[in-house]
Amino acid sequence: MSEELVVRDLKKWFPRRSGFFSKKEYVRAVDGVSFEIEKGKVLCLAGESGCGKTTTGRVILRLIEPTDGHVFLHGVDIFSLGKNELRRMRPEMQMIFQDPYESLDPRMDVFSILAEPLEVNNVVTGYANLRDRVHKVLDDVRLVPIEEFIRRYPHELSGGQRQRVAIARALMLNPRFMVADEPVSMLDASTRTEILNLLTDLREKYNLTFLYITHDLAQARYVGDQLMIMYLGKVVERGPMEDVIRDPIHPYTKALISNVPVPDPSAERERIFIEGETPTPIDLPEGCRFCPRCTEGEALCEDEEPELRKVGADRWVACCVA
Amino acid sequence: MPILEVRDLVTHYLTMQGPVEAVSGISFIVDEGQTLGLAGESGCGKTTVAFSIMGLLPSNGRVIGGEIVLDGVDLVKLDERELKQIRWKKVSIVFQGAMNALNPVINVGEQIAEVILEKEGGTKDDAWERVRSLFELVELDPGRVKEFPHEFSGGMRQRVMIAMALACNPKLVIADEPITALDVIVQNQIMELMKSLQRRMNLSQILITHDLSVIAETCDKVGIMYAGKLMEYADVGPIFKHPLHPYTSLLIGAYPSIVGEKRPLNFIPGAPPNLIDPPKGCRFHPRCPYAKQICGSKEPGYIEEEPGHHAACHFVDELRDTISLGDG
Repeated sequence: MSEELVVRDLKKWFPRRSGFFSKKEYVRAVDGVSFEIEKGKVLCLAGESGCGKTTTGRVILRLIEPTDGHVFLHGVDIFSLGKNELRRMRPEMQMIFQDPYESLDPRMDVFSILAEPLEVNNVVTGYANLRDRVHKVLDDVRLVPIEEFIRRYPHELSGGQRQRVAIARALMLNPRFMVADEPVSMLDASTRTEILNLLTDLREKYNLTFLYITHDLAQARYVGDQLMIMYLGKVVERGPMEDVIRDPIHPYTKALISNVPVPDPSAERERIFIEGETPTPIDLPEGCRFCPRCTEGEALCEDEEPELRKVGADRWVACCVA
Repeated sequence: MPILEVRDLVTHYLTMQGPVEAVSGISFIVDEGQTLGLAGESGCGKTTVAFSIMGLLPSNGRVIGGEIVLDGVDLVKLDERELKQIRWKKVSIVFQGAMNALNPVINVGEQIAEVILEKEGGTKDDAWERVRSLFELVELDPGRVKEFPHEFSGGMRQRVMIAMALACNPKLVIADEPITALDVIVQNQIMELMKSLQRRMNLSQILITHDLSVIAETCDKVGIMYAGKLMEYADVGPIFKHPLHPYTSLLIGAYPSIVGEKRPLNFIPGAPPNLIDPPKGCRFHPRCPYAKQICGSKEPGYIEEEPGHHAACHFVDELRDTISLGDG
C-alpha cells in the first residue's frame, strides 16, 4: 500500500473580529482533519455547505495557507516548502474548479489557456512542441475535432466543453495529484456523466490520485473508492464507498444518506428527519459537534468530543455511541 | 377538476438576433390539490412557462399564442390591471434563490404585510396578525417577523418565501427551483413542509426543477421539457417506469441513485439547441441515438399514446421495449 497523500491534523481557522475592541474570534473551518489517499485512488470528500470541504482542498494545495497540520505528497512535506520549492512542486498538484464559467479567462482562447501553464513553468519551448502537447491533451479530454475548438473563446463553448478545457489545463503539466471541487455541479444532468466518465479514464491514463469534493452523495458513489464525510470542520466518518453508503455508522451519515432523493417514485425509503440547519463554526458546541441535532445522542455526547477511531476494516467513525 | 389548463402556449423573447422561441406550443393540466412537476435541462423553457402564467415576463418576453385558463379565466386575454387582481390572490410563485428574491433592507414581516395590504386591503394590524399566523404555518418563530433576510438561514428564508406565496390564500402555487441551493437535509424539510401545506390547504402546485429525483418523490404528474417543447407528459409512476420518449429515458438514466445496485449512467452527447434557430422536425433529433430521416424533417405530433400519457416522438411503438426502464 503506497500512500500518495497523507494529511495530518490539518487546521484552518479564519480570524473574525466583529468590532475593533472585541475579542478576536475564529471560524474553525477545518479543525483537525487527518486522512490518507492511496496512489491512483479517488477519495470523495462530502458534506453540507459550510462543513469545510472546499477549504480542506484549498489548504492541501496551499492555495490558502494552513493554520496548523501537515500534508505530505509522496513524502514531501508541502507546508515546509519555501516559495521557490513550492513553485517547483506546483505542477504535480492541480485543481479543477466548480464553475467553468468563472475559472477560464474570457479573453484567452483555448490554445492560450492551455499553453500558459507550459510557458510559465518553462517545461516546453518552441511553438511546435507547445502545439503538440496542447493537441495531445485536447485529444485526451476528447474536445474533438481539435481544429474546431482550439481557437475558440470560452463564451463559444458549452458548459461541458468549458469544463473539458479546465480539466485539460489541469493536465497540461502531468500532475500526480488533483483536487476536483464539485467539477460537474454546474452542468446539466445529461452532460455530467460524460465528464465523470472522462475523469475516470484520465485517472487511469495519467495515474492520478484524486480528492473529489462534492455535496452530492449519489454522484460520489459513482466516482469514488473511498468516502469521507465532514461536519463543521471535522471528519465524522470515513471508509470504502459502498460500505459507507450501504451501512453508515455515524448518525449524521445515516441522516445524510437517508435524505438524498432517489430518481424512482416507487422506492420505499425511511427518512431520518433532522431539525434545524448546520450552525456556523464560530461558537461550536462543547463535546460532539453534531450532538444538538443528533437523533441518537446521549448525555455523554455533550461533554466529550469524540475522536475518529477505527471500527472495522478501514472503517473510521467519530461518535461516542455508534 | 382542473384548476389550470395551459393550451398550446407559445412564448418568445425578442432579441436583436431575432425571436427566441423559448416556449413553442405546450399544453398541460394541473388538477386541484395536485402537483405537476416540470423538468428539463437549463434553457428548456420551464421558468418561461412559470413567468408566462404569472404575467411576469421580462420586457422583451411575449406570449404569442395559446391559452392559460386559471379557474375558468384565460390569463392571456387579461390586461395588466386585471392580472394584478389575480396575481398572488389566485396564483403565486416561490422564486429560485430566496436571498435575491427578498429585499435585504426591509424586514421580512413588512415585505409579507405589504403584499396583504396591497392585495386585500384591511388594517395594518390585521395584516401583521396574518403575517404572524403565516409564520406559524411555515413553522417559523412568529417572534422573528421583524428580522431581516440576512438574519435567517437559507432554509428559513425559503420558508419566508413560502409564507409570502401563501399570504393571500392562492389556489395555485408555482415553485421555481425552490430547494436547489439548499443542503439535502434542509431540502427534505422544505419539501415535507410543502407537502403538508398542500394537504391542509388543498393547494395545487407546479414544481419546476432540473432534478428528476425531487420530482420522483413529490409530484403526481410530470412534464418533461426540451428546447421549448413538452416531450412527454404523464403520471409520475409511468414516466419513471415506462417512459415513451427517448429523451425522458436517457435523462432518467443519467441520474445516479444512492440505493440499489450501481448501474452505468447514461449521457446525451451534444448540447441543447439555440432557440433562435431551432432544429427542424423533432427538436431532440440531433442528439437522439434513435433518430431516423423523418425526425429531421417532420415534427412529431404530441399524442396521447396511452390514457393520460402523452409523448411527442415518431417511434413510440418501435422504441417501447428498447427504452423502458422497468425495474432496473
